[in-house]
Amino acid sequence: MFSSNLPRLLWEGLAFILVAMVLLDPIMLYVATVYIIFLIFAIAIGQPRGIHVKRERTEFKATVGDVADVSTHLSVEKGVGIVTIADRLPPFFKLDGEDSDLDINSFGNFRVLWKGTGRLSEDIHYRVELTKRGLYEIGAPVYETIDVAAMKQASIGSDGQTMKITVSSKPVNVKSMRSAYLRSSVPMPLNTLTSIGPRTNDFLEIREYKKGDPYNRINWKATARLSSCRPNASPLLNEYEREGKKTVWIFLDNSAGMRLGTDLDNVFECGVRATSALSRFYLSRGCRVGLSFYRGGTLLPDTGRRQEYRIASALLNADAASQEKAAEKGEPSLSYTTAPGGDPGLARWHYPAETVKGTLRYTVDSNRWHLVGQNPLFMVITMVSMDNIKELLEGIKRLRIYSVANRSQVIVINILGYDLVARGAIEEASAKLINYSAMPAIKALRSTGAYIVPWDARRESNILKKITIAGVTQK
Amino acid sequence: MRDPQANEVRLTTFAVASELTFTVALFVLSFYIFSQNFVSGLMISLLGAILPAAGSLGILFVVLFLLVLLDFFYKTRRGRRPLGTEIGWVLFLPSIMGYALMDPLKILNLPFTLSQLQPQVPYMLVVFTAVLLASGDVYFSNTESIHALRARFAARGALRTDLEEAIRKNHVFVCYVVAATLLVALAGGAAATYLSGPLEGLAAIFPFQFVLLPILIVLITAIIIYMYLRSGLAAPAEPGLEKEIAKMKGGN
Repeated sequence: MFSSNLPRLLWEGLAFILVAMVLLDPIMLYVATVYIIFLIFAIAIGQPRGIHVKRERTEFKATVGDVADVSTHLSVEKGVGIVTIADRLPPFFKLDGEDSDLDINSFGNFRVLWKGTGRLSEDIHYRVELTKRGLYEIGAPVYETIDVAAMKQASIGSDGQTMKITVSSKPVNVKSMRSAYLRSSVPMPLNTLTSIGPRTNDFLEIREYKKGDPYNRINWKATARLSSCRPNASPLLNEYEREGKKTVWIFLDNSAGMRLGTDLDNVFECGVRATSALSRFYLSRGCRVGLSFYRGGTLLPDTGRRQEYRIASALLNADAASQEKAAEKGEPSLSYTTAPGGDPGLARWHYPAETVKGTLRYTVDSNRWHLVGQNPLFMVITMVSMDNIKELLEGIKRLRIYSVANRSQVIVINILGYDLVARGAIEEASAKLINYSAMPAIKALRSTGAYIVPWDARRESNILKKITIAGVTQK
Repeated sequence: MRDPQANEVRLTTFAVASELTFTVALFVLSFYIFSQNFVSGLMISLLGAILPAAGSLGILFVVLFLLVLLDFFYKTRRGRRPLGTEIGWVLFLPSIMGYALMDPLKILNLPFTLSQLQPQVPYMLVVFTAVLLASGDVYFSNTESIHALRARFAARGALRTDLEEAIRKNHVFVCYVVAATLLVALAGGAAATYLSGPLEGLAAIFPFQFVLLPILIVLITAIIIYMYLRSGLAAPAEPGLEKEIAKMKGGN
């Protein structure tokens, strides 16, 4: 299709022809000829075409903060004109060198190139800083071609492969602390008799099938017998004795309250980092690690590299609920209120009184059949406040009900979210006041026998070190 | 690494030099032909009341020339098209009318006729100026669209290095195309003048140059447009284009 430039010149040329024909003016005819000859040339010179784009890499795996090199080769076979090529970057990607006046001239995801009479062959490189964990995809490069005289509309197309980028959380280095004065250590789960560890061939019992159980352990004969008298009954499952491996069960709060902070740096991101570090630590010590999110999604306890990979994948896609989505799904949504005339820094998130789904209690209840008879180390990663203390207490109470009585270990990692987002002396002081106002909640939690580890993620990056120094095992 | 500032300077220098040369040449030639015209004599006699008769044409030239230069620098700095060609056309158009074979003023028995507008300069100079003015019009309409393109790409965050180089090369290529157009048109004009002698008898019987030639030009134009439209409709869709455009429109 033509652009608006062509009709203008065309009409001017035709107008001169018309006047020349009416007045029989030879010079007008020459003038009209110029317009028409130019148009013939402009249309005859084709737009750049025969475009081939090839990416050097189609997959890239990195951790948060890494820089990814994106290299593309562009070749244009025919035509003359301007060719642009652009990559549409996902959100949270930052062009490397964006803040620098010098580097920006050599890196960019949008390039404008000239295709002369010869073949154009150009290597395009740029670098992006990966600022947030997740699975991302850079689509096929989009190109645009414009002819020399811009007589035709720009042609837009895409060619080449997409590039998949996996950005995982930055791993926390786990180191043994060898200090003569340090008496505490990272807590380990207590031993249990038969409920944890890899399954042996020793038959234990037949029980009802629960969500998450492997299908190959279903006892089909027993199920058939049961179904003759109870047609709607769940299948029955063979349960075997286990070797005595220790289990750690992590509960990660991904309710809307964990979104406190920016998109890139918020309480939930800290929770993800803590979960990643703790799961890697316990898995490396041969423990079985399970993970459960408040808003649904459970990875049953298991050991080894495969479990590490599964947890990393689950964390990669995890996100805290937004207020709107939580409201849509009927989950507990939070209300942000300030006292009339009060300091906005002291505003608080409020849970409604009736909360069921998306709370610790709901999560524990959902997984009760996997907890019964076990004695794992429970780790609850959340932000404790007066607003969610009720549901936290209920959740911990449930944990004690479902695990072996009087022997359960519960560690609550309390991410100090207000400290994380506070900027400047006034905001930091406000954050301290808010933390102080949560002290009754902390005391109430301690009274249940849970260990509380306050974690200021901005100042103390290593959660394991924090747990160690907090002296959890000394309490 | 290519220096973006050097590229920008080169582009600006080339663009300003070529556009200024074109503007000055167009204005000087148009004014010269205008000065040899019946209309200019009429204007001088009218201006005689306020300006000295001897220097009034010179004063008019200087005033208009300064106006053209001021307009040129003002507009080009903002990426807009200068008024040089339009002023040239205003000065030159009466002279073209003087060569019209069909004179409506004469038919209406008015005291003036179009033939009185013929300037006292060689015929080929008038043809050259006309062709140059038309080329200038085409050239400036292109440079305007190039400037707009440059601004659009800069706003989208294109690298300055690439952008300045691509735009400069496009500018140069447009100059080549305009020059080729000018040469072809002048060659056509010269050939027509050379052939006017032998074909004079035929032209007296049937004015083929005003009937056949325009029809031929219109036909060629129509064929080109038709072929272009056909090629545009028949072009296969780029793979994944619709999806990508939908994504871009959706903003996701």
